[in-house]
Amino acid sequence: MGSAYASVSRVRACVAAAVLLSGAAVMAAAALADSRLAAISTEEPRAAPQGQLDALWPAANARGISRSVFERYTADFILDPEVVRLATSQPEHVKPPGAYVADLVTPERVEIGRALAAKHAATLAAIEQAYGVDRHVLLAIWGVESAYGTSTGSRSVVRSLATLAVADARRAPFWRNELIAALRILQDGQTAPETFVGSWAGASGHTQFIPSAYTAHAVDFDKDGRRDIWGTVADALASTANYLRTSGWSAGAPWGIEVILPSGFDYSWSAPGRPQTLSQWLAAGVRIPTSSANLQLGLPLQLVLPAGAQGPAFLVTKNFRAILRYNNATAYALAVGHLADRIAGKAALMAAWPSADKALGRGEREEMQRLLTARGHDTGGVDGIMGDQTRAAIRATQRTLKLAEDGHPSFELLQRLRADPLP
Amino acid sequence: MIKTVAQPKAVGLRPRCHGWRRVALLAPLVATSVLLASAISALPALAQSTEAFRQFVTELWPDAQGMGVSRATFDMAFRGVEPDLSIPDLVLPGQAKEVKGQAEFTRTPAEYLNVSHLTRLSEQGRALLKQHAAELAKIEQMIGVPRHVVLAIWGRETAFGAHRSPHYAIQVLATQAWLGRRKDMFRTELLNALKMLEDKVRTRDTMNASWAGAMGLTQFMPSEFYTLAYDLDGDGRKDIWGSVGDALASAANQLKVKGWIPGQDWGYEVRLPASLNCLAEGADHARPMREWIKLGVVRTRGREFPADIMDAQAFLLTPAGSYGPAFLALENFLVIKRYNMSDLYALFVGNLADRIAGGGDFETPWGSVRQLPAKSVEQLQERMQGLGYSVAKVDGKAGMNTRSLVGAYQKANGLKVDCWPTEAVLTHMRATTARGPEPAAKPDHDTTRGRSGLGVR
Repeated sequence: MGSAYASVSRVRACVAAAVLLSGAAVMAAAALADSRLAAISTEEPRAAPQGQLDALWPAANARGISRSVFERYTADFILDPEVVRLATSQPEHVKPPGAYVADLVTPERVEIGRALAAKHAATLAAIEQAYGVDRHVLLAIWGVESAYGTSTGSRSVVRSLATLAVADARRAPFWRNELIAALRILQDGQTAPETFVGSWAGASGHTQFIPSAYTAHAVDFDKDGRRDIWGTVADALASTANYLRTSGWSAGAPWGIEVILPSGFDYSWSAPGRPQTLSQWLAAGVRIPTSSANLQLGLPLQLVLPAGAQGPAFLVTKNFRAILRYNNATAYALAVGHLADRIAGKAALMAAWPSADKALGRGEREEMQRLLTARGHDTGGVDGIMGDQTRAAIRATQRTLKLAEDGHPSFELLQRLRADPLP
Repeated sequence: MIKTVAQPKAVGLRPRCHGWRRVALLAPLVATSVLLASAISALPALAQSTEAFRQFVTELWPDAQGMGVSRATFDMAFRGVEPDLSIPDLVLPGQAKEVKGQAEFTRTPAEYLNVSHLTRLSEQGRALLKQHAAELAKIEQMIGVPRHVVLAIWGRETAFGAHRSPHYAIQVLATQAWLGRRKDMFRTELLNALKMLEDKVRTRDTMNASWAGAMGLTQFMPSEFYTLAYDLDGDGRKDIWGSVGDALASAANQLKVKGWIPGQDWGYEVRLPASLNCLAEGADHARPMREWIKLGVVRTRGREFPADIMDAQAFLLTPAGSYGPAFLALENFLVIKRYNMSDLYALFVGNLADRIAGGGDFETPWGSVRQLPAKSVEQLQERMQGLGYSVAKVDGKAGMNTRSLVGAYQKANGLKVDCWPTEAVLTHMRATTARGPEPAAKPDHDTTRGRSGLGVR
């Protein structure tokens, strides 16, 4: 694959990047919704009141930041109104998992991933050897996070984090901590201010680490004295492998596998925390349709139905949970896992995503939560976020209504609850 | 093909929760797993399951070999064996049909302690008391467990040998070890059963067992056969199938090893004073007999408590909440319970022993209560756990701990206190938990987890 390939790859990567951005935006929006940044000021001041960052000095000092470094990067601080806007905008629509996965696992991204697997074969083999994490998963995270390094974000990490530290009162301690970690990265010369750019939330580099994750998990794999996740692919991928290993990755096990459920299946078994051995699933009539399933019979596997009973079904290992530690959204972990499989040459998903899976708008999500609450099911408040508690409430109401107990917030269910608001 | 056989009559078929020993040679379950061959995916669902079972058996071989089982015995034992998915206590995720659980936990006290059943057994028991007087005297003398209790175990377990064990032990133990709720325990039992074949204790044709793999007149698990069986007649064999003396001595030996206190009863039916109700139930609220008496507890039918047990620890037992008789149970009740972890089982054995000894029926009749399905009991236990009640175990079984906590919940929420788990209580809990835990909904007593004895030895 020589230089001729490189240019092709760049062009394709750019195409992929364009698609990625929509996906990334969704994830960012979802992450934002999770963090509930309602407390952020919606005003857009051109500059922060002087002295706001000065309050950070004692904490920064205590963490070994020198006065000169502190002043160099905070003295001319101007609030980034775009970051405030991105952090406060609430997503009206969240993409259904099928569309989300399809947007991320494109033929282009698969093909580039395969080319990069060949190009970095030696490095990936060495990382696999050192951390026990499957190379295809590393490539997939790279592909999903930054379209293989072509879309790593262009905002100053320090400015974004300083903006959030000042504007987001509710999570200020979190952002301050990230900001100080970012300053430390610069002080240590791990990267230069010009290359220390990333997402609005301060994630940067090939695999989009926030500064605290960098501090804890980044590694200098090529032994050049810098943990360079911005310019060195080996460092970035090894850092990701290190992060996954710390998050509980188990060497040799897959992330999961698509399965076919038997007819008459009781979907309540997709509730979280009900792992069973592969033997048990098979004995109950679950089928493995794809070849080369490297699964042990005694391995605990959790059933996941990303789009409910009508969509594809997966049995996942604890490695799926490790990917969730990177980004806590089922659709994200599934996109990473499936992209990894596709890069490794495995087949596309067998089951179709439900075409009728109309994503609920924000108002509809809140309405569903209100209707569930009225029926006596605790959704943990009405916030438009379909989290674990809301999904548990959905399961409970599905049980009462004798519907397939899949915990999926479908439009159908909303209509049913509207028609029959109280039991 | 996987056989679908009719559900066996559940009388006396019991998995043991205690009394098994982990074999030192046993490797952790997963460590020996073989990778599932890619070929498996080409097969239809049923064949995938069969193939997975075949691999499970293949993986079992090294451990069996480590126990001294020969390849020939191993192959003979498993030839033509398919898993039996119709037996209880398996986990078949997603299968809608609920396999009936142990009779001890699916029947109401009135159903389980069926009077005509008890009467019939006690009549048979009294005849057997005479017929086996010599063996029973020898057992009392050598092991120290009273003859009536030993006979009652025999009666409860197999109706004095009348119940045939319907399953092939290797088939049910392999199924349980492969898909059961307690795989590790059953794997150990399976290996011991293979060893029994190797040692020619039984042949493949005579190795009949309950769905849980219990065998012989007094239903011993394979590991219990090796650790607790007793050769009373001195013929060099521990024949719990053909020798009544051996089988009864083995049962007595098991009770002795599990802590039987000679000279004490299992417990007594009592009348409670107005100041006591089902809230005081459970081994966690044990106190000396003399204190119960001081509180106003009296024995039924005008009888006196034996004078020599005043210092013995006793606890209140109300198996049907406030809808039936109450008992004061002694340590030996818990010893019987260790034979099979169920209050109703221990009560059945205790009452049958009393009847064989000439005692009679309970004074207070059982009320008509309904047993909540296991799934609902499980939900109820989870809800109570969420509310801060000290639920010992979420297991779907409405035992002493669950009943008394239900009572505590009822009291804290101003409901009628009957300590009986019902759909109505569960619905009330759902509403409570949906509103969030209430400060008032705290149990008024704390229970200690995992306690299994009264500490009087």
